[in-house]
Amino acid sequence: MDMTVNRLPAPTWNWLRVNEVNLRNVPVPAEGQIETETPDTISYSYYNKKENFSPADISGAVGADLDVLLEESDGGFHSWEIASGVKESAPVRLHFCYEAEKPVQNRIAIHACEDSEITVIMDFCGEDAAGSEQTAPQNISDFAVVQTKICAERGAKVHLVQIQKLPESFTFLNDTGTSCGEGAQIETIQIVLGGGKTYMGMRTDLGTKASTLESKIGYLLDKKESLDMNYLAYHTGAKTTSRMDVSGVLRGESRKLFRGTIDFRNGSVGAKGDEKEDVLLFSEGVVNRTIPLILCEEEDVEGNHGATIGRLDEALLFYLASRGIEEEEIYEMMARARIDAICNEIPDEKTRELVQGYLV
Amino acid sequence: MTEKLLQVKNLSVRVEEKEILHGIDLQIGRGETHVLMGPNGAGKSTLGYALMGNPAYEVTGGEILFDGKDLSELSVAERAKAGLFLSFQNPLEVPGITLSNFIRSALEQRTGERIRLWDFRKELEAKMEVLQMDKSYAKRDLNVGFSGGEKKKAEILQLLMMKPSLAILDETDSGLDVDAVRTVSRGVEEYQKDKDGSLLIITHSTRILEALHVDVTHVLVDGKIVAEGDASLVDEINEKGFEQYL
Amino acid sequence: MKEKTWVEDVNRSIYDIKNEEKDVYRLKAGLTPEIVAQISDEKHDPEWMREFRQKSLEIYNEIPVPDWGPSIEGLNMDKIATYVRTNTDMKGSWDEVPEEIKKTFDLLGIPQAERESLAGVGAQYDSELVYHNVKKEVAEQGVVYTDMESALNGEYADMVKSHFMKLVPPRDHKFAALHGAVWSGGSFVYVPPGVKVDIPLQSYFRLNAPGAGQFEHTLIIVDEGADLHFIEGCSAPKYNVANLHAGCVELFVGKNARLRYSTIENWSKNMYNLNTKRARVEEGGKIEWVSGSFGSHVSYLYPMSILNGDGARAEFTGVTFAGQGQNLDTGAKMVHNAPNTSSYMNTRSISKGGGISTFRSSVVVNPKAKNSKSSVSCQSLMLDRISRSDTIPAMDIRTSDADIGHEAKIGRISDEAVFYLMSRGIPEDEARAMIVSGFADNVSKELPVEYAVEMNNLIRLEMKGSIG
Repeated sequence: MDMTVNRLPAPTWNWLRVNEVNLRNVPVPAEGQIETETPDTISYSYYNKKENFSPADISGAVGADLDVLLEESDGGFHSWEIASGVKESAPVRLHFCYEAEKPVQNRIAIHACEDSEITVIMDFCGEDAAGSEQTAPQNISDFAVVQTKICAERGAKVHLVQIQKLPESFTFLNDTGTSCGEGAQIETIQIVLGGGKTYMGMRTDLGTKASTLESKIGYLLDKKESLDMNYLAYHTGAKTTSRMDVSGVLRGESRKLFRGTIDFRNGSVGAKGDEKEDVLLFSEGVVNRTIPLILCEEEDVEGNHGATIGRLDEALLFYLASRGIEEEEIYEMMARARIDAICNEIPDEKTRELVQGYLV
Repeated sequence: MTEKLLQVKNLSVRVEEKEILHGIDLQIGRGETHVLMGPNGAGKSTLGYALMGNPAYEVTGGEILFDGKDLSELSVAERAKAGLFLSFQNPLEVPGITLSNFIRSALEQRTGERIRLWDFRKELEAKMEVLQMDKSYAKRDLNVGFSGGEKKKAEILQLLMMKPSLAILDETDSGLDVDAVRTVSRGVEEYQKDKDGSLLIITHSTRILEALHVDVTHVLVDGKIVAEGDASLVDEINEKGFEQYL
Repeated sequence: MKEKTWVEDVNRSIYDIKNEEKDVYRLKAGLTPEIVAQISDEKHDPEWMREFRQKSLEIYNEIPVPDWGPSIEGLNMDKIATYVRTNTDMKGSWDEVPEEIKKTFDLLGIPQAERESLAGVGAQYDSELVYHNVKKEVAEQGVVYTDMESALNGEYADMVKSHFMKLVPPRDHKFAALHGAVWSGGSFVYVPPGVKVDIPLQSYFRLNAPGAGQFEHTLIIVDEGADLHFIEGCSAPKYNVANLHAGCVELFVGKNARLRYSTIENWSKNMYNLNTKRARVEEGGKIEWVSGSFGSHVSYLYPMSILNGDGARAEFTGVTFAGQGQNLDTGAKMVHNAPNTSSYMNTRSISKGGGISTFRSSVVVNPKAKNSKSSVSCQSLMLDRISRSDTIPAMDIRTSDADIGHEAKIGRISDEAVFYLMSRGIPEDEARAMIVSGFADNVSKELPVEYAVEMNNLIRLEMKGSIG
């Protein structure tokens, strides 16, 4: 089917070609296999619909066409639930290993009941197809979809970690939607270290009082890889806060588009939203696009956005060079440092090592 | 007579179309400690940056010889490798690189050899103790979230680890309380003793100098050296200020 | 007694009635080749312009209305001829000018003659005289300053032909095409190489020259090493019976030349302001836009700077104040096409009384633009919770050798600041007005003093009545 994904919440000039992405001839994926590991305190189930929390009611950011695709695929939800008051530091692990020419999808639901704490770690890797040359964009065959819906009830804390290292032939759709109860905290870390065409979306509904989102994204792109993102912090509750930190490096002829929206709706009195983007451009063929929106219909809010794009700051370059490090090496160091800085925040040693392993 | 370590001859420096230094002459011998004093805006930091090779500071005249070599041909990193070190007035924050890893990779870059982790860690911890730095700082990202005093200590820690032949300390004592100044100056003393290191201490106050032996004092006003003398000049300025030179 | 502002007093029916009255000019539902040909006849167009208008009309009929900005549903596109005809045959009298606008003239202290001129009625009085004097003075330096119609048929006809709608081609968007078909009036300025014009040229003096006002075309060519400041508009409301403004401004800044283009736009608040402004800057040249947007019902306004020569620079400084019933979508576009180019954007938006302000921008750095710099700073102020303020910037960077910075902030007036001023004996409404004026000082600092004063008066006027 043909799909439109990652639609910008408030459109701008069409000639910029950032308002949305059109995908043609997307294969309907089958439901894929996942290797999982679940701590005893957390219950796992598989279902289509559930009464107290219906993941389908929570919106993601990739868009309605994705829901249509997933409906056609006819799979269920892998669901993890953590009971009220339980705080589990051991993570739920989900390991996705995609095969070439076998389009698959998975739907994940995470339900954190009141005052619970849960960590979910997903890593996406893929089998290198023979030759690993990217197929024509009109013809998606190495294809995977994952959609994660999170319901964080009052006072709950959810850590979501996603590590992506896919071959260049893959097209990957990764959508996340979250709804927050009062005082709920969502912390996400996403690291993209490879993938031909990646479309990521995340919507966080900060609907009730004092819920918070902290989202960190790091990427290293090379060759002809492209990463297209659509992130939305939707503030309707009072004193809600959101923070999005995106930092990455573009090499080769890679492309990146980040749409980051802070939407302050009526009622989000005292809300705060921050967005920061830091992009290091390494080579001449790269294309970096950044669309940071702040939409606001409430008076008592604070929204900030900052972006720095291009080469390293001159003062920083001088400081590091004054310690005897050559410019080329400084760039290498700083590229890695960007990922390291995010990697260090992952609350799991094994996953940190996985990322470090990818970086070598 | 042996050749001086640093010879600055008739140096003029421009920043953004404006000449800041107008013909500076300065010589520093091996093992000597020099002090460069002067009121705010005199061009003291400019001299430090120009010696280190900051691209924003354009040398428009004169020359700088270091260890007999003309520095103008060398990049910033090459100057560092040649044995020049600048302690920054406002060290930059570098997320993602720990203090310890940073110093180690700087040392490895310089020697081109891998350094044994055990030896390195031992030495680092010893130097941190001199500076009364908590060991945990080694694992923190370089300068990120450090207080003003901690940043200055981290600079001196780099100095002690890298053992340059000439260290330029740019206002290392500014913004520090009495105790911190004492600690930092102990670190500087250690550097003097350790390798017979030369020093150019840029300052507009005199607190850091109390515990240090000073060989030569230079007074810089409006981009020119207006007076030179021995350590007693420091005391004189301490008493009378810069008025007589303005 | 409480002062009331006309912003709150606008009675939409006044405008509706006016449109009814003007129905006599509605020849046909749509815009036809015949209507456009008739304009050509009236203007004594040269042959190329006759064709240009017809071609533009075809394009106009092909292109859809924009699908991304504020709604222009209130503009009846099927009856577009109405807007065109009311312009060319504009008549009116002082009595027809809405009371609110007359009151604003009063409050701003605009002399009677200028009021009538601004309101689109009456003769030019001393304004015309001033215009002629200015024209004479700059002519002595070799500067050409004339109206577009004269330029089209005069000594500089070839220059006009080779530049007209070359920067803003009719294909650019629907209203550019409309402009190409029905434009009339406007100014032509040519500054010869090396000439520095000391006094700012002000189009305001000739705003109501026959046919000017709604589809005016401004063409300015600043030749190598020359320097000009051009001021468009002033802070009194410009009243026009028909409520569509689709002007076009094309600025050509030569090698090492500088052009400052200042605008305080304050159309009456029934206006659909769909204006297009664009500058092309050659090697070492500089364009400086200073822009205040206060009027109009709906605005689409994003001056574009195309940096085509090595080391070319652009600056945009803007403020937008959207009050009740206003939806002002403003910003700027920067295009870096050459090495060592730099662009700088600094904007402030204010939303009040249900008004909507949107800051929209784009910075495009092409692969050729090595060692380019761009810095964008936009700040928005929400004065209440019934208004709306959106920030929609875009950056498209295609060279690694660039230094791009962007910062956006949104917030409200700090209670502490208000309290501080009140503790010094300043009443609350005055304190808030002062803070808002201060917020907009990025623009007022850049304006000649008389304009800055008028702009601040305007802000004060918009602010009054916001309390109690």
